[in-house]
Amino acid sequence: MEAGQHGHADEDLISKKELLEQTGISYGQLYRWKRKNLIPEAWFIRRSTFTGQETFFPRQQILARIEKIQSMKDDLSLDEMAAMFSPNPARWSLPPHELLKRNIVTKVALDCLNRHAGNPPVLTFAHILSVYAADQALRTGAVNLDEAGLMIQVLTDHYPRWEGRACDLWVVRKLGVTTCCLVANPAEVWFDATAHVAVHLHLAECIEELKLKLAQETEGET
Amino acid sequence: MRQAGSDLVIQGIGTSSGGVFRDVTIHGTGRISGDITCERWDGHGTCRVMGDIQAKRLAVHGILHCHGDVAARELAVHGSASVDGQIDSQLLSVSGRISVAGPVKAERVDMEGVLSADADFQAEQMRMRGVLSVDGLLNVGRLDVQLYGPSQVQELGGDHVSIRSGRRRGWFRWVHVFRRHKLRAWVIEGDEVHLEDTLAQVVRGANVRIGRGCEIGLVEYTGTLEKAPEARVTEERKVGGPDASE
Repeated sequence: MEAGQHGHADEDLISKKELLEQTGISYGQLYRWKRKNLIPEAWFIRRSTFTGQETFFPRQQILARIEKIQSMKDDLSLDEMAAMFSPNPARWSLPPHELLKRNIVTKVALDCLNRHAGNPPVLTFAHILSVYAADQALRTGAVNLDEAGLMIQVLTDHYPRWEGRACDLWVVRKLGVTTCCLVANPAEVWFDATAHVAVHLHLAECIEELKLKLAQETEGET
Repeated sequence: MRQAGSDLVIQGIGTSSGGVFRDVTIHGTGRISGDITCERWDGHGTCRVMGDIQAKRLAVHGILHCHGDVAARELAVHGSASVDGQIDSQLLSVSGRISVAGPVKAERVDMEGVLSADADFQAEQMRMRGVLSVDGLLNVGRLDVQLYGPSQVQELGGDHVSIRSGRRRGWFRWVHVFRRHKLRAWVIEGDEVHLEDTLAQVVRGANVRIGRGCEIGLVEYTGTLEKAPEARVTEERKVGGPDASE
């Protein structure tokens, strides 16, 4: 809880009561979603107020999450949604051309992976995630091709070690040299003045987006 | 995982270092000095496990003390169990006493006796007759409690919450005391909340029924509120909807 509180210290918070009024969900639903891990424990922030202890949430994150749950709850079961939101690597594996066909990643990013991993016939979730992350960074123009290759290398080599814990990906440049690392979330990292952060990616959010895309596309096909 | 072939049987007094087994049967006093994984655990007497227990079906007749976590699809306690770690179970049934230091996750809970939990406790369905003390959030979809002793919960949340005072009958007669027992809670939140003999700072819900023996600081409801004449409610507020006054 301490870590959670610290991480949200500067953020805009919403009280539980306000949240329920704004979204129209009931206490029963909120508690059910909490039981099913649709809402992470770290978002429940307990603060003492004049009426005693009250629970608050990080406003933007919880509102976005509830909107997502409400839009998906007709199509997916709670357990399926929980699998989608959890940072655990899903058991998705796909042949590379499938990713291109579904327009999840670009050819350029996929070539980067092929160069690093040597044309794997079937991509594991770590592969897909690394290509997806690199693709995102390439699209925004934050990194060049070599650096995207570096991201892919770091993610495919080290991401499975996190075993589902939340982490962030940082790409840092200094004096023309680029390095890439994975850092636990929440954590604070400070660099010297001449270093420049090219990419800071929350992998948990990235995974959520990716799973959503993978699921939607499969649904569209069937 | 290794193919679990052999059984572990302890008759009298015995120890084992743990490992993977098919059936574990203990009659008497057993001590497992490490982690143990088995299909079925049947313990009669006193058992102490220094590590984690993983079992499909775990039945305790007598006393079990586990210093690690317990993961069992079916966990039945007749007697007393104490767990220093967490409990993860589909079906948890207890007649007697269970105390747990870590968080508890269960699908269905059926309990007669005493529950004491030092952390959060969650279940989809829980029926309880007895005494409970939860030092955290008790998060249960459908909760039905009959109080047979002084109980306390820090926070309570769920869909249907029902707290009733226990009728003194059945094997529970021995806890018979003349005064009425109360449940103390900070916050109780749910869609359908029915309370008796409850002392709470705040109760929030859609449809709330405050029965006899209750003392509630603040009730916030969006649907209906029923109050028994013997109940004491300091402040009540209807919230939400178009005519919300805040």
